[in-house]
Amino acid sequence: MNPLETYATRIIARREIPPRPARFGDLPQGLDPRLQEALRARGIERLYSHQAEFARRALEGENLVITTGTASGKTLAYLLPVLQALLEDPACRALFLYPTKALSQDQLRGMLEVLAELPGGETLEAGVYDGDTPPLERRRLRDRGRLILTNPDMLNAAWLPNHGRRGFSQVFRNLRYLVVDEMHTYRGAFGSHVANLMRRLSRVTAHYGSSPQILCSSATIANPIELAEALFDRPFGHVEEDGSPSAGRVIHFWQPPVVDGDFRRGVVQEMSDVLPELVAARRRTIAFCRSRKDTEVVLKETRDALRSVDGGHDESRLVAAYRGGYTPEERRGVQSDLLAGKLMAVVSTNALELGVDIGQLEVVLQAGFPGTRASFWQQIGRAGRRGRTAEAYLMLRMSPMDQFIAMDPDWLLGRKSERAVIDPKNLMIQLAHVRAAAAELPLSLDDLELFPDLGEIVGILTEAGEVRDVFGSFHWAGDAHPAGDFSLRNMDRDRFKIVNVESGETLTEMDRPQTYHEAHWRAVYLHDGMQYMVDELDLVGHVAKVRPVDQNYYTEPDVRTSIEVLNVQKTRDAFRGRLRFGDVRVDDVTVGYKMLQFHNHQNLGYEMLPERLETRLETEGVWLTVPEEVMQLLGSREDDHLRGLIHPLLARARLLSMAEGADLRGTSFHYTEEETGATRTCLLLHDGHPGGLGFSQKVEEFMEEVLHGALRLLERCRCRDGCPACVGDWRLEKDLLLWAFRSLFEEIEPPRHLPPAGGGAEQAPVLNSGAPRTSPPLVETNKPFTLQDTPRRWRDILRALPPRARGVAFLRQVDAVRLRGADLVLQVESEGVKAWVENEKTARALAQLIAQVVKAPANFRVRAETLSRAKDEAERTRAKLKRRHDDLTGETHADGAS
Amino acid sequence: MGLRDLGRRLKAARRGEGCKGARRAPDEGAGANAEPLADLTERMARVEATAPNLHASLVRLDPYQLSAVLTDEPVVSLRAQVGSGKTTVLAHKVVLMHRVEGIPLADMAVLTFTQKAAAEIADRVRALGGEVRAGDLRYFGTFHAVAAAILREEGAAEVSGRSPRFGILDEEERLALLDEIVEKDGLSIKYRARLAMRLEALEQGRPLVGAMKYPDDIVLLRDRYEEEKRRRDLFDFDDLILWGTRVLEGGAGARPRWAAVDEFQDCDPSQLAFLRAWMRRGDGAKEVKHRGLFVVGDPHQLVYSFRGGDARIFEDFEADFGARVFRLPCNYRSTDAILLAARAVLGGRCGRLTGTRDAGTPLRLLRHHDPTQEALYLARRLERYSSEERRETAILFRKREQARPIAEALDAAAIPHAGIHGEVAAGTVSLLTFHGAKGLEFDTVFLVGVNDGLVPLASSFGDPEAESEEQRLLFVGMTRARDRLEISYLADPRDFGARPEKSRFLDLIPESLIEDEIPHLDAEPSAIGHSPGARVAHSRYGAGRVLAVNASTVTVHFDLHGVKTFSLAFGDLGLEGLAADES
Repeated sequence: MNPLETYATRIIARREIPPRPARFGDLPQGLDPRLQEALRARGIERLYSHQAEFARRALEGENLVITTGTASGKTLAYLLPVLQALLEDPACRALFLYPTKALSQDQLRGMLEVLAELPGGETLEAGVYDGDTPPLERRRLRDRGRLILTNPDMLNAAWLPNHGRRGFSQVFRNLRYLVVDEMHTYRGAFGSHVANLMRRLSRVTAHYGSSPQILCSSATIANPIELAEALFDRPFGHVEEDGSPSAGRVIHFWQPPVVDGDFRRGVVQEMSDVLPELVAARRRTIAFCRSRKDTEVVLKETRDALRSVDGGHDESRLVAAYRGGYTPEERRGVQSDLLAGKLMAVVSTNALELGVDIGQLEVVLQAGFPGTRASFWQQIGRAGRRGRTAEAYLMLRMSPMDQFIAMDPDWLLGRKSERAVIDPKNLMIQLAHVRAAAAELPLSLDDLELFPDLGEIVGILTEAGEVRDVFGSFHWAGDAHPAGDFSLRNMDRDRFKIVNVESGETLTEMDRPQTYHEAHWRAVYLHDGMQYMVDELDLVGHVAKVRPVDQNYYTEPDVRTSIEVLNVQKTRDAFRGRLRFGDVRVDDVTVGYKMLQFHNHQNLGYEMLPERLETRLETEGVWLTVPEEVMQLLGSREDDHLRGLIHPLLARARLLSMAEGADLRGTSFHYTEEETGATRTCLLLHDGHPGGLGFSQKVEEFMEEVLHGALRLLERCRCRDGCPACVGDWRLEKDLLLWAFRSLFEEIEPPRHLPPAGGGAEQAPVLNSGAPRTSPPLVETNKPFTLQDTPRRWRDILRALPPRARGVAFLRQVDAVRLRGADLVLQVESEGVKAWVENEKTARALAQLIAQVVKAPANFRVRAETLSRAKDEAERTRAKLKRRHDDLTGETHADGAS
Repeated sequence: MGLRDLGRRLKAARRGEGCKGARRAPDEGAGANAEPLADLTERMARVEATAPNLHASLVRLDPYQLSAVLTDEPVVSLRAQVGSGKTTVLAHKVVLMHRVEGIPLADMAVLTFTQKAAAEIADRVRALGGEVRAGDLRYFGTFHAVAAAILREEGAAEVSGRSPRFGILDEEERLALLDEIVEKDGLSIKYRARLAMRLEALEQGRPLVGAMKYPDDIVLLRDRYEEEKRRRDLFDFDDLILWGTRVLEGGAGARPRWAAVDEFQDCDPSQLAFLRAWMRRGDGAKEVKHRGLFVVGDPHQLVYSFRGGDARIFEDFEADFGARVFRLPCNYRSTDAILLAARAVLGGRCGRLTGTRDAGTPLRLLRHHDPTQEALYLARRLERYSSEERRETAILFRKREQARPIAEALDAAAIPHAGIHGEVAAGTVSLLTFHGAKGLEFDTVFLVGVNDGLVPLASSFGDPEAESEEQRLLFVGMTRARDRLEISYLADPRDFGARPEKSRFLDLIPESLIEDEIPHLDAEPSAIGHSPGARVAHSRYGAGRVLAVNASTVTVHFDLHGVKTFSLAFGDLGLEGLAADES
């Protein structure tokens, strides 16, 4: 009996993956007889084909990455060549890197079992060397450990900085193998850090005359070789044909029902309903949640439901949670209870998706797509490990990614498309590691090969007195070892806490850009189904203080973004558009916010923030020109429809590059082409980290694939008129955007019912069948000023402009402006300045700048005129007095410019 | 040199200008209480008549040195400043006593603290025309060697129950024998790792270590050890001095007519007892008139007080034996910069110490990150030294264990190096502890790991005597250098139990004597002219204009990216219009 049958209506798709029989290969030639004996003792007469291939090629000296499935026996594959080397040479050592402490503990247990059956294995001392390891055990491992299991953070902060000390130096001198498990987790900022860490490791091992062979395992991604080669800076071979048998699987796609108008029921609630039923039916289940908090909610709800089964029988002990933050003992307890069958279900974060052995499970529940296909498959792989068909349920959230999967379930099963992205060359990350490298071994010219921006970095460090030139090599002269100055796991520590002042609870943490957008003063912050109002954003203390509220509106930040292209590294055609990749400067200013009514999204008003929130980011970006006719039509809409193009593009690009929200962002801007001088509207995707981490570079490489995917997202979305999943917003016109998006590929006629370019928004058809279209806004939203406002509100306009954008500093010198038709006339000091302003290029740039905040007609121009000094002075005094008066009275005078 | 010249030099010496070639005195310090002898002409004439070679050499000495050599005082205390030529004086004195006073070499003892020092004096004696026959120098050597020679005389060793053919246990063999007894006799001994220390304490009447509740078999072990040595016809090092003293006190044994002691400040009580026994008959009557004693040393270089040396040793000796005091105030070894800094480290408490050389180059004081980085830096420096320069280079440190990373780095750079026992191979850099470097000198000296907690050792904190000794030890280390002295300390001194700051004593050195920059090579000419104003291009930042160029960096204002600074060494800038690798 399947308790899930009652939920059949939620299943929108079902895919079967047939079982796969085992394929075998011969033991590699020359395998030590002791290893053969140990294999036999474990009942292994033959190796799976991938294990045999991996061991053979590793013994031939190849650096390898293996990408076979979960539970396919990857550990044994890399243990064979490592143990062979350790048996042959009593001095040599092997270092194993795991991304988490829990995983290294688990892997150690497995290794010790193998060693126990290996003749001579008792001489191969093994252990975990991490932050929890006591000093005596650390010393034992340094002095005698042959298999040392550690993590990148430890390598960074403990191993490399101490390489010269006795014990450490012996390990590096004799390092024969470096094994890197779960390599796909080393991507984005973490991966870029680890790549630099590996360069530091290679310097140190080279210093001691060793050159370890590298063996990696990875979940399935589209570019394992590329990732390995980027991480380790050397060629790799690939073993991917999985010879292990696999149980059949059925994957169900679970769409929660729509409740409360626009919203679907939350996956945490859905999971909390289903899990007790599975436990009651004695189905061994693992339930994956996306956060620690979700884990606790599901656990509590499930336990509550199980407290009185069949009239009083308490079965709540049959379910437990597993997540980071638990002690190693607690985690081990859960693990062994699972293995022993004492637990029926475990609720887990992705902590259990890595290769921790938890035995045979039957059902996998996922509260939301885990973000990458790699994670998805790892989680699915936790069930049905030993022969029985497993069932998996992917519960889809209201996120663009989940809803995209709802539209295209086969994307998950289709060809590999996820590419792990790192950028070892990121300047900030390189800087962090070059400093550490200098404190490990002096920097020499040879290090340019490892750190391409060494010249510039050394220049900075020399100026700061952190390195010292000793006959052309650079020695660390700073204080403590700089490896402690950064975390491998975060790009920066510039994070804010969101604290509920009524309960004192920290709801979440977020980075600065997200804080400025979502937790500015008076923002309505939605968290876990609750509304909170931000009372105070403390920029010094890095805290946003919020309190629970219950209101009929949510807020949308008014963010002015100005983009400056710093250089163009690559230009090419992508369908009809011109695609460029290069460095951009992104100035982001949150100046105010809109209040929008829930459900009908009606604009209830606009407020300026008392303090502008500015961020500046210099990073990499990729931008695509939008065809003119598309711009004309989109530009006729009051809502910024370019957002509707960027939204699916960004969703697809994030999927492709395994990027998280903060890794890759999108916007649009006006770009003046160097070649023609023409200004074109462009869709921009840019990295979210200073200097970029390769995300937009990867998007550039696969832009066609991204465009196709994004179009499919629009086409397949089940909504009629555009929704947060496909175009990002209910207010945008889906058919207009569909036409616009298709126009990126080829020139096509606009749909006949669409009004021609230049038409007003009033004529837009009522698209949303439920709620009426938004009535004309009380305040123009994106552009708070009209052209008519300009003379009177010139100062406000200047304040609303991105402060660092080119031209703003100049405009601030202009005290007065007046209107002449659609021309805005700036009053300037001299003929020279007038000529300069009226230079065609300058005038256009200024017009574009002003148009960012002023709703201006298409023929809007900027001109200039000179005034006599006296008149100017008088004007200035008058304006000053008037402003002062305005300040005092709070009134505005219906007094135009002179 | 004519007598007139000599007279002029003597007058100059009285005015405190007696050092040869002195250009300026780093410090006049306390005036010498023992002025050069006024009238040496008669003695010089005698020397010229009997030993022309010696005379030819004597005229090259400065008046202080000359006075010490020519004096006919039987008991002389020569307080020699560092680098003031005391070995020269000692050698001349030996030859003078031999050739002019007619004492056979075989009837002289020269007691030193190392075999090497004894050998050097012997070499000098030969060079000065002393005729040396086999066996003549049997009393030239360390205290142990001379005591052993006395004990080997017919009938001498018998008092101790040994034969004249006794064997000598070195430190390792001694411990092995003790272990053997403990094992064989099944003795219960606590703190075995500190056995040597405990036996020493036992001799000094402190048999218990720490808070030991019950005594163990240590007394029994001591007795069994003595018994076993007698049975096997063995002495250990301590026995040699002890029984040598007893033999002399008993009136037996050979008794050279004249003796000299080098590095007198380092004598411990047992060695002083040996000297006393040599000077006096067993009945205690003084025999000074018939015997000469010449002790040379520098109280500022007393660094063995842990072995029983005493800071007041000179004063006590001079009072006890009625010694005439002579001084050698002129340092011929080091530049003024080094001497002034060394004086400063002693807080100026080093009496009169006059430099004779020019100011020289400032000391270099550097901070390195950790021992590994320090070692790599040294390797990098020494790579550029010629084989001759390396032979004249020493790296000195406080603790033996500090040598390991340095030795590893030098090995990796294929730079030959040797510790205390291996000064022969050409081009070998010396790696020595401060203690081990005593008595040696080099053109270039690197003092490494000079952190608070290493110099002075953390264990000496709060003990003024111990701290002063550490101060003297640093003084000794610094004054090993003739021309160049570089001192470094560590930001991360790690396992050495030190603090991450430089030695407190280094703060005493005036800043004007120190520079903290690494010497720059003559700038290698850049392929392109990085002169201010030049237009350049960079692969990432595009075009820009050079704002400034200094020794190792160039600062560029890029048209789009603003101001950036680059290291010149990595030359990633090209002239505008050219990629860096084309330029």
